[in-house]
Amino acid sequence: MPEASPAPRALARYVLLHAAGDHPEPEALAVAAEQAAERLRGRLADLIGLTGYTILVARAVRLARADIPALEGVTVDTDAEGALYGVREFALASGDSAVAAAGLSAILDHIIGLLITFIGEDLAIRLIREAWPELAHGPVESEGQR
Amino acid sequence: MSENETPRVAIMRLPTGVPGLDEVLGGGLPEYSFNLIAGAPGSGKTTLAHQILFALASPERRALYFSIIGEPALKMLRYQQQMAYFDPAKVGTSIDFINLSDAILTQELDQVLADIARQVEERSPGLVVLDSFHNIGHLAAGRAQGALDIQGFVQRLALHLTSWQATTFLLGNYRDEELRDNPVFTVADGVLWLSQVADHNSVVRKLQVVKMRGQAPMPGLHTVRLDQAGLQVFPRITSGKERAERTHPAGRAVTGVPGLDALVGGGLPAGDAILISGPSGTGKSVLTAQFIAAGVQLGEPGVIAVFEEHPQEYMRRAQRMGFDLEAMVRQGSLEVIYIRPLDLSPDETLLAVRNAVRRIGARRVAIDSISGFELALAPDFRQDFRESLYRLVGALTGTGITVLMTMEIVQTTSELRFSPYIISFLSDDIILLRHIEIAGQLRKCLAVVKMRNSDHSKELWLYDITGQGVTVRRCVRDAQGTGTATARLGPGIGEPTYAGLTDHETLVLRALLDLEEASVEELARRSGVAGVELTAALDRLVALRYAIRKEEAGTAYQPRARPL
Repeated sequence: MPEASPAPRALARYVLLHAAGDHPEPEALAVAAEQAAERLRGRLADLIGLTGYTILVARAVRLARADIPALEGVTVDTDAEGALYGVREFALASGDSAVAAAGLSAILDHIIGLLITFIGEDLAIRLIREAWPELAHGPVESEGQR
Repeated sequence: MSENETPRVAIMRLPTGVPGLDEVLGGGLPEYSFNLIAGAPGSGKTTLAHQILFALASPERRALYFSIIGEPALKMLRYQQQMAYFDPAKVGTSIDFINLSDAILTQELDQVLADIARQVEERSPGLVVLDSFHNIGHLAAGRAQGALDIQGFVQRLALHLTSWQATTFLLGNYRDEELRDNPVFTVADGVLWLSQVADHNSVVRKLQVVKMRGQAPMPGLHTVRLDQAGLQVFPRITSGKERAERTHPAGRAVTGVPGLDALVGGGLPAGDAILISGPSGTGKSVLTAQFIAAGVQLGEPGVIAVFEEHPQEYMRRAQRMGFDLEAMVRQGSLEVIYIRPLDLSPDETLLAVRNAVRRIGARRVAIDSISGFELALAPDFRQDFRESLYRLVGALTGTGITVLMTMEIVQTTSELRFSPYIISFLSDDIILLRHIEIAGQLRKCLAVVKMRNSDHSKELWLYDITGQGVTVRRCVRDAQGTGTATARLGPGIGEPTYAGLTDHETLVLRALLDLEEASVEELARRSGVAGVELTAALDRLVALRYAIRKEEAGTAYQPRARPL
């Protein structure tokens, strides 16, 4: 899979830090990542079903692990509607906010990247904005929405 | 409305946004109707539903698209956004996609129905699609007894969606035999059936409106074309109405062929269907160009549908005969349509011709040739070629347009045939072109075989094709063996021959003999040979001592020849 474009990467990081607040600790970042995944599930499950969402997140985690091997312990529970496991353990083990933010945003980055791959940036960014209406004036816009 | 008449409810008809479909439906889609779009996989069901949704959905009339164990939504969005009608701005603002696959797999039908009802009540959509609906039936068949069956599910679904004022489409793969005893077909207000017919190397898509409550759809199978623009429906030509109301416009359609109009009472009756039939090389296309050009000169725009060669080549050939069709096209008084996809339907042809007729207000249409037209059709349509042609010609002449068709035939020495098809019944007039052997020369002659509404010449007439088109020369009387390729003129009536002369030179010499003395302009008018061809012919006639050039008060020529 091609490397995710700057747009999803910036959006993933923005979403994570938006939820975690300024200068977050690793644990706060982990909670923010879980909340972000929850929000995405709420929006995407309507469109692609819980099964579809679970498979999508599992693929994103696998891709993120290839970038950041320390995410090895993060898994997706396919029996529990796509819940992410091991996120807190990864964040705490990293011991560093920057490392934790990079790893957790990589997962979100790949979820968004997969959406863009399948349905294009315009529709993908629309879906993300529907999940985070407060980001309507955020820094990331698709070409079609500028 | 009379005083005793009860006011009736007005059903609003929604324009589907699918070219041709509203006409087939009988005026559009009834609002709040509960419809089934059925057909085999790949027949265009999802595309049709999307095209309708993207045309109709708006923030005020939202659409809900439920996916049920069919094409995954991500893939559907991925592929559908390649279509021209797909508007990403409508996704999420006017059209919501809801995945019901998990619910269908894990819940009983009554719970699924409750899920659908909840979504509908929350969002109040004006349009609802369930894709693919047949999967619900298959799953219901395997469920425990006592659970809501498919019949109950369909009835409650229809009731709910109609009550919530939604126009609904159920999409499903069904086979013909499933039409019977299927509750969906009973409950549905409208059933649209899409199919694909493969024959030899071509595939033809068709649509049938099996039923549409509250209005009268067009019967029969209608051709459908599916490309990146989406679906386009070509309503099946029905010429019955036009034929019944057919009125012949007064007057004659002048042919532009010197000598021919006199044989048909001053021109072909306007509004007639004329068949020009003849073997290869007899000038059918030349005569067609002449007929259309004459119309344009008289202020009657024309349309030529060509099938056997590209319009540019067709027009270049006409140009060599002195008919500047390209200039007529530039002026907007002529359209030359080229249709040759080899999987064509007659209805597509008629639509293309009708559109061209409307654009320029055409009064004359030429189909050159019927043989090429048949070849351009998908094999499936060739079986019904005669019937298709009947409907096509009827639809055009029904509106007072004069239609000229050419037909290539194989000439035999033993029989007189107008066409390889039994299609003469649809022609009001038939002109037969043929080769005829006279005094050792192969000449061309024509005969007006039939004129339904007019008297006409009964003789055979020799004609020539010159640089100015077809010119009818003289009558073939006292011929022996007429109707065969070995006809001979009687003694004293046959054309004299001149040793060593070409056809053009012979024509010029004959003109000179008739005129006795003539200028170049007079010879051009009389012989039909002009320009460099005339100059070359005259030079040769002088060189061979058939003619004398005189240079007194301008150039003139005198004949010296005597028949051999």
